[in-house]
Amino acid sequence: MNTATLSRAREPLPLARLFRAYLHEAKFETLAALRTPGFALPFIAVPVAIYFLFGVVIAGGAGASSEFGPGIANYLFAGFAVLAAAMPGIFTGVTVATEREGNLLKLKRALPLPPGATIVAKLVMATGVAAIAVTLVTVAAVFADKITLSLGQVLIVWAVLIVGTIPFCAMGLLLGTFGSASAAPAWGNLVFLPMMWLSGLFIPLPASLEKWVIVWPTFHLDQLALGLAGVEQFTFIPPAIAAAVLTGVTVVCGGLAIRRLARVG
Amino acid sequence: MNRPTLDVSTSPDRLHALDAARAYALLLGIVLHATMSFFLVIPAPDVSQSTALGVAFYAIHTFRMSLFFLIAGYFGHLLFHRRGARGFAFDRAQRVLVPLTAGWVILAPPTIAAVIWGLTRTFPGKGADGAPAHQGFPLVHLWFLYYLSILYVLALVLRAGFVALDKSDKIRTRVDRWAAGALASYLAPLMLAAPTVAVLYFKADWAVWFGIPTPDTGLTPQLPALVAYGTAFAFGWILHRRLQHLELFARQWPVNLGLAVALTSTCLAIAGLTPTLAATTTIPGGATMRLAYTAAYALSIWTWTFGLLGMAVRFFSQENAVRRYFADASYWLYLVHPPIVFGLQVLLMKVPLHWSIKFPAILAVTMAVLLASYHYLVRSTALGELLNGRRYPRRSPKATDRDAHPPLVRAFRAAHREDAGIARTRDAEPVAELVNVTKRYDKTVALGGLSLAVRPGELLAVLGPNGAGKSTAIGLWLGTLQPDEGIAKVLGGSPLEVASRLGVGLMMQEVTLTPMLTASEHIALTTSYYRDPLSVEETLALTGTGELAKRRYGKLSAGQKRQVQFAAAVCGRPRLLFLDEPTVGLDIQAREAMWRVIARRRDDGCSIVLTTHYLEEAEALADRVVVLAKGRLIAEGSVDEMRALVTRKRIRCASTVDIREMKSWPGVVEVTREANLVQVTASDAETVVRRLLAADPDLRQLEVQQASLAEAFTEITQEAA
Repeated sequence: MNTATLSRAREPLPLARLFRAYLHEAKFETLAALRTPGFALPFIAVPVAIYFLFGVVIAGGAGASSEFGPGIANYLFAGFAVLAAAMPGIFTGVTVATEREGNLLKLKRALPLPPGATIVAKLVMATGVAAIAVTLVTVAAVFADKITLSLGQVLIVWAVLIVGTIPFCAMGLLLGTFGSASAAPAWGNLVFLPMMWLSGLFIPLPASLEKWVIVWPTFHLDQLALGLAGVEQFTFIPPAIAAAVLTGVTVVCGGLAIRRLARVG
Repeated sequence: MNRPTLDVSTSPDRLHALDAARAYALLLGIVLHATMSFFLVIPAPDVSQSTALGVAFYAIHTFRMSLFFLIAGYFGHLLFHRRGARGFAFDRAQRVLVPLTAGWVILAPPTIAAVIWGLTRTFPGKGADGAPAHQGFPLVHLWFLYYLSILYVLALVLRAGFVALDKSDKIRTRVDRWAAGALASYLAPLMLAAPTVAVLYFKADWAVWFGIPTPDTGLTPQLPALVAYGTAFAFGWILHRRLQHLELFARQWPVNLGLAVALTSTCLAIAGLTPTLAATTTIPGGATMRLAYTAAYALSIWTWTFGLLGMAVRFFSQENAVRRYFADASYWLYLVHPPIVFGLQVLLMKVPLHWSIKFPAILAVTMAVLLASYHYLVRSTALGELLNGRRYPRRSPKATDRDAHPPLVRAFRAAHREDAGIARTRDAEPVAELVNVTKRYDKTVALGGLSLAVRPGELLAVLGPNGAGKSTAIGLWLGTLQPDEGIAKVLGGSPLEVASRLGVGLMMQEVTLTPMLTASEHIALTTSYYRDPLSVEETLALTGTGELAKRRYGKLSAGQKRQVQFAAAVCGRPRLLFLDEPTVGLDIQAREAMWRVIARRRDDGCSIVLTTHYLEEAEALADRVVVLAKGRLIAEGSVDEMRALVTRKRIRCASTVDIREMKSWPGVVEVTREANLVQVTASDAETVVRRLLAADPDLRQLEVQQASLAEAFTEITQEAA
């Protein structure tokens, strides 16, 4: 082999091929997730089911008694939709832990797939699953007819929450780099459950916990969606701050995950 | 871009100087913030107020950020020409955007908390609500990273436009000449100050005492900062195109610094020694004085910057361990200092001590905490690598002790020298190489100074007992492991570069592919990574896996899974194929079928590295065999040369012949004696037996044994142990 053929072989893939490689990775990641009933089904079905049960059937009449008035239905819709967005993200960690344990991530590191393609694929997969879940909650909210938001506001909340899966996916990736595949769901729940309940998205919190909602990314996603949609009644912090926190969480968790995956993956 | 002046590798001295200057600009920022409580309300008005520290603040605040942005522009241009646009963007994202976003979530809360704490102590009873509300987005001190990011983007966009317009380089040559002329004639500060003068003069709400308004209260770019720091950045960018400019600074520094002191004194004379919070925007003396002040201020920015830069080039050009340490540490120190500095200021605000004690104390405690945190948490960790692009080893690595090789190995190596493999392949560039690599796991040495090359088109079998270092060697080639010392190369580059791996296919020893995808989906996915792969159908046909195509991977048997992995390994038409124990779990037919495909790939010019426990596999396929034991190469040769080991025979007999004499006989490799039993290893058994019988007529119990290949391996690997 002479130097000329070597250097030609070392040229990077043309952009179209590179894009195709990312696309394939994302496509098969999503396909595999959708074919895994234990992964996709709960994340798609559970949020809409509990929204319907708690947000519509049980708390549907809360508007009359709540200090917030009928607007409380909007807050509940956004809260349960945040749950739908966060869940597939956090539990991406289970997939990561499984693939790490099976040496699949190590194999992919040695293959010439473009850097970051595995991570991008997982983001796309989680965003895709979240999109379905958030859409179902949104449709349920619209049909239940308790919310007082305009269609434009609903669409903004819907779009923000789907993109909002990304920070949770970064957290999930980081979780997935710790521990074994069998422990990963437990770790996921250990983070997910306190985060959901303590960010005050569906149940009123005691005053002592109320000021600590700002430490939970779910609270910030909720605030970003409501703030951008202009739901002033429930906007407690500026959307720019919420966005910065979510960006920061993404960079910190995602960065640490990428670093750890480069070593332990 | 072949200008000789762009080749900075010839002048690393100046880079040391600029590194040092940038570090001092950042460290001065810590000093600047430490002065604040002694003449300002934020973060806390100290009981001991100081005009001197106010003046120090005024002077430092004039130039430190412009100096920083100028050097940032300079290094930006350097980086751009070293790494290209993509590399530049990637590097800056990692070292500026990540610290900006991650740093904000981590550092903004404690920084803001320290300020709020100061306000509640200053205005007790009112609580935080009584404090002036922060307007807009609180970027805190990280605003400089935000503006740096904006300037990087602008630089890339403007440069692309410029290059498109200025194809013949005419404008750039003129700009360079203009910059040289302006610098030589001392007119550069005037020209560079002009945009800042215009912006500040017409800014109605300009707080004159505080110079360039610090843009830390919102995400919308603010014009004064963008213009002032953008000018500095752009000038730095241009400066790097002509390195001799720096020499001018080195000559002009006394004049520039003299002018700087004079101008700052003039400004302070006009604006007063302490900031007047009542009328911060007005200058006594009306519009003329305002213009004079603005011009003097903007000029002083540049004379300070040029003067200090010149001093750095003049005095700090030599590499120096302490300066190097601070240059590396400064980024971290500056990033995390505000909560500490502000916290200490609030803590000490009511302590009845003079500022000349408190101010140095605050600085000393801050620096001690910061330096300790840098040394133990950053310098040798991933954080340091993120911020400074390199990670220093915690201590210098121990020199590798190389044991002497055991005698048999030595004899063998006399014929097949360890580095002979590399020497012989130098004419044909190897497709994969390990050069003197050492890899340790904690204290276990997995590979100790191993050199090994794979020649184009050969099938190299790597053999050795468990724990010999085979998988480690493969891991180094694949880039899943990094050597502690030495170099791993694949297809002419580092295995960490995607470009090197584009020609590599591999089959790992133990791997679980995604169970929910079918065999053909796995192949389709893997082909998408390569430049010129086989189609899925071709791959299935080649590897005889057609009947597995539509079945889910998770449902296949162990042997079938190996076949799918093998198909994925060859589907990219790799030029270099790593097969780690490929036939484990296969039945005899499947194994032979795989052998045929492997042989065909090799005949097509693919180089293959094979590890195996089956010696017959190596015998059937390999052009060359290497044996590893305890992380060292102990034998290497063609299959025929390896077979020569098998022709070695073992002679046992009861004899009185002196074994020292026997050792000198031709054909004798090794002699040992136990009681009266002599054991001889001979490469030419017949001649040795004849001579033995002649030398000792009483010889009894003669026995001659053929050594198997397996035995030979066992023997040499044991001896290596």
